[in-house]
Amino acid sequence: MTAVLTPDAPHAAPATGLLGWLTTTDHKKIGISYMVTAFGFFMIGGALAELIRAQLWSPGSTLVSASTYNQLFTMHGSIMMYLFIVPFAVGLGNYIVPLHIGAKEMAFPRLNALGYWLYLLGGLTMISGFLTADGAADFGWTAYAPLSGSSRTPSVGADLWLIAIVLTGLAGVLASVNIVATVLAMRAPGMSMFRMPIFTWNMLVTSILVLIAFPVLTSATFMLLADRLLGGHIFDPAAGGVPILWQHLFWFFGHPEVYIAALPFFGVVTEVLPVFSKRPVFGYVGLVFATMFIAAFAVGVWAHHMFATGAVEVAFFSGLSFLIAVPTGVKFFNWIGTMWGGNLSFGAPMLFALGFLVLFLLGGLTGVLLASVSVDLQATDTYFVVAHMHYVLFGGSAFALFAAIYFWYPKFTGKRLHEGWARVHFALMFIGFNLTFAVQHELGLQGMPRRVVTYPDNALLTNLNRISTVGAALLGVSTLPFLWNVYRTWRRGEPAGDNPWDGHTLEWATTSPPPPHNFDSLPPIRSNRPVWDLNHPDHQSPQGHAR
Amino acid sequence: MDREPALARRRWWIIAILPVVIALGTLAGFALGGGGIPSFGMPDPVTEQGRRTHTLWQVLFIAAIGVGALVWALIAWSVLRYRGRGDTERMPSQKAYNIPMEIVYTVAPIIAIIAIFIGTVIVQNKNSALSAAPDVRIEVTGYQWQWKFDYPADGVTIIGTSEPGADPEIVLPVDATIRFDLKTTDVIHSFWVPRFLTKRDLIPGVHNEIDVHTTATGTFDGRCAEFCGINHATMNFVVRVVPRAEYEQWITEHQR
Amino acid sequence: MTQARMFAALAAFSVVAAIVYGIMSSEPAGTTLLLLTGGLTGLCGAYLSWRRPDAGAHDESAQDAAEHEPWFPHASPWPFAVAVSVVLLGNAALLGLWLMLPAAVLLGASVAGFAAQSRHRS
Repeated sequence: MTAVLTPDAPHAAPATGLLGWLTTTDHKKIGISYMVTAFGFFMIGGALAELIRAQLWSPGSTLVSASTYNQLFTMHGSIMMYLFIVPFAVGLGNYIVPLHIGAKEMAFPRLNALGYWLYLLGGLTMISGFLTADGAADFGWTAYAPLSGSSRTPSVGADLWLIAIVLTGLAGVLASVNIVATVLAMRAPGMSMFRMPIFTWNMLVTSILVLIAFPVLTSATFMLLADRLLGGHIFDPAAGGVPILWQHLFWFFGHPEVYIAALPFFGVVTEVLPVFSKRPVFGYVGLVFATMFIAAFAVGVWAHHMFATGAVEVAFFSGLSFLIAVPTGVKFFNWIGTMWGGNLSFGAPMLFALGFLVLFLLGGLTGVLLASVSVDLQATDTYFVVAHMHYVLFGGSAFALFAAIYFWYPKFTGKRLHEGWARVHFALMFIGFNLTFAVQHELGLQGMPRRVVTYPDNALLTNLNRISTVGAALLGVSTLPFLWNVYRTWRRGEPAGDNPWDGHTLEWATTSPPPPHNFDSLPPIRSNRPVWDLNHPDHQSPQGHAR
Repeated sequence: MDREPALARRRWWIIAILPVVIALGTLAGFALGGGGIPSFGMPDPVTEQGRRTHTLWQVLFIAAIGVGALVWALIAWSVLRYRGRGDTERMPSQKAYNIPMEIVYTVAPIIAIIAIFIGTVIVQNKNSALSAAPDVRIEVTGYQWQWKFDYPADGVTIIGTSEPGADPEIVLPVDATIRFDLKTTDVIHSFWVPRFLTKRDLIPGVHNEIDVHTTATGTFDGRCAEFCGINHATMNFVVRVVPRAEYEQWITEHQR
Repeated sequence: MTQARMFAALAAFSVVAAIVYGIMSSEPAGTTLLLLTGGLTGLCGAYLSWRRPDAGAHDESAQDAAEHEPWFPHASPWPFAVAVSVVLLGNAALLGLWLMLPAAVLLGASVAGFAAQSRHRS
């Protein structure tokens, strides 16, 4: 028996054009807005990175001044972390979560829209610093005190940055409240918690992490603003303030933040692999519990970013940091188990998901190395950490992000992206990424610190930096086939149909794109892959259990 | 599909054993102390503490290679062995769990990381231990954007200038324990000599101390490793380790 | 319920972590943050344990049932208005306090509009 959903009673024709966009409360439109805006910020952040790598082509280069360079790396990191990777995940979650659970809308549609506008306007506030006389914020995306205090960084760009943090943080909290409430209250009949897709589980857990972490950053930001604008001395050592307090507060947010940037994309990979292997998710319950353990530990490891301060209890943080590798490893084995014995096809989403597996593994391993305190004391604050973070955030999250785009683009637009251009995109991005970041591990160990406008004139550092810069250029170029693909598909793309990939979960049970109320009818929900069960009645998942 | 159960049974033995081997190998590595194993990119240390870190690095790197090779091999095997050959109608096994295997690959990593955690704690405790009577004390003051080094017992002070190419040089005796007292009053800096394989931050209001026991002579670069403002990249210094007699002579020459 | 147990588990973990961390480090900031995390997740877990399941209102009148029906507004100018007001308020800290009062008024009006739309379900 299928559940029939009645669309809402007819109402006045919705506004179109700009007014329609400004007043929409449709989670699908808001999700697309988040993702498109985030991608725009990605391009800006990427352009800043190209300038950074160009400056580092030669030691002693004067392509940009030190002052400009410090703004470049600050804003590159800030844009990528605050304005790209997490908002993209929020947008993806906003679009997909209601579809995954068979709901017709998010729990709080207007709150959803409010979150998006705060994000867009907050993001513009942050980068408006570039238009001021003293430029944008230039103290690193981590804004350590006392450097970020008003006497050391008097620029108004810094204040704009801090205000933007408050605004985008508020957006994140609102979005998370919405996701938690939606998952708790709006699941369709039969959609028990343990039948939800793993992507939705991961969005739920990510949202809880946001609720735990973002208010801490907001509070710290208000404290710093009080120092800067209201004559406070919270972080001012000359007046008895405690600079290291900023680091505790920042990293209590900052470490959950990197898992907030990763977990949604683990979820994406967990959606793509089963579809392209013609198998169910392997170890579903293990994956759910692994995600919860990751979230719990993520809250307890913050000061592994602070080992070099000499002021933290290293054993506690080192131990928990090692432990967090265990549930991540479980996820890896479950992903492999999903493919094992399957009938694999290699469409674009699968290529990027495989790229994720290969690259995130390396980033995860260097993370375990960094959890070892003595090793960290050599590697921290060097290009080794820059390499590590880019392997997990770019090789991991961003590759999975492109998997998500290729996977769900047909559902969003009703058209299929071109597979050939997607392969070109993947090949260039994979090669360019590794060329850029693999050598940076060695650069760091051999003596190149982070956030330096130049480096000493020796052959090893110069050659490694040049390889990295060439890789970065290739990485930049790799976006072009993707943009061409999107443009070309928008003009004359092939229609996708409801379920071009033989997908397993509920979003594939409706049209592409879905109607405003999402579903005209729902298939029976008796397992974690109801559409697979509907389309492959001879190979259904075990019915009727929570599994 | 009939082959699957037998293969699966054989497979999970291999998967089970390898991480245990890695864990045991890790412990054996600690016991044997590294030997002629490559450095895997870590510079050659010139202190006793650095040597311990270097060995730990080698052991961890080997363990990481082991795990990485295993997982990449499993991914590669999946992609090659189970790739579709145009037979889109072939329906593979829909088995979605294997409890014994899942337990194994949860427990085995826990054992492995307990081993490396123990190694980590041992090395870190030894490296951060402070001697009761260091041979040389140097007070390091970092400021935007150079260094000041005081040898209080000998009345020597070396101050960096912002002259390009004129980084301040401090001289240390070899085979001696050097205490660095790290202080600053403006922003956070970090004292890093890459060949010492360690760094420590200078934080206003915090008095950090590290000991290094020098084991080799030579000239080594020093850097600031915490972003401290516009000239962070040129806040460099030089450490020269020399035999005792030469050190005494240098002290005499530089006394105020 | 699963959700309540999730939050409760997180709360328990945070409190235990706070105790272990506090004893090991005597560091006040992290201990406080972990305890507060336990409080936040505990609060959510407690609410979800005591919340009545929405298993269908058997004894409600038709009017009550209609009011409890979830309502999803199709379009609304208020989110954009609230966002603009908040952003203006934030930037008023830098652009000048003369902006703070108009921004606050705009915020008040936007929130009122937001609430009015809820009440009238328009």
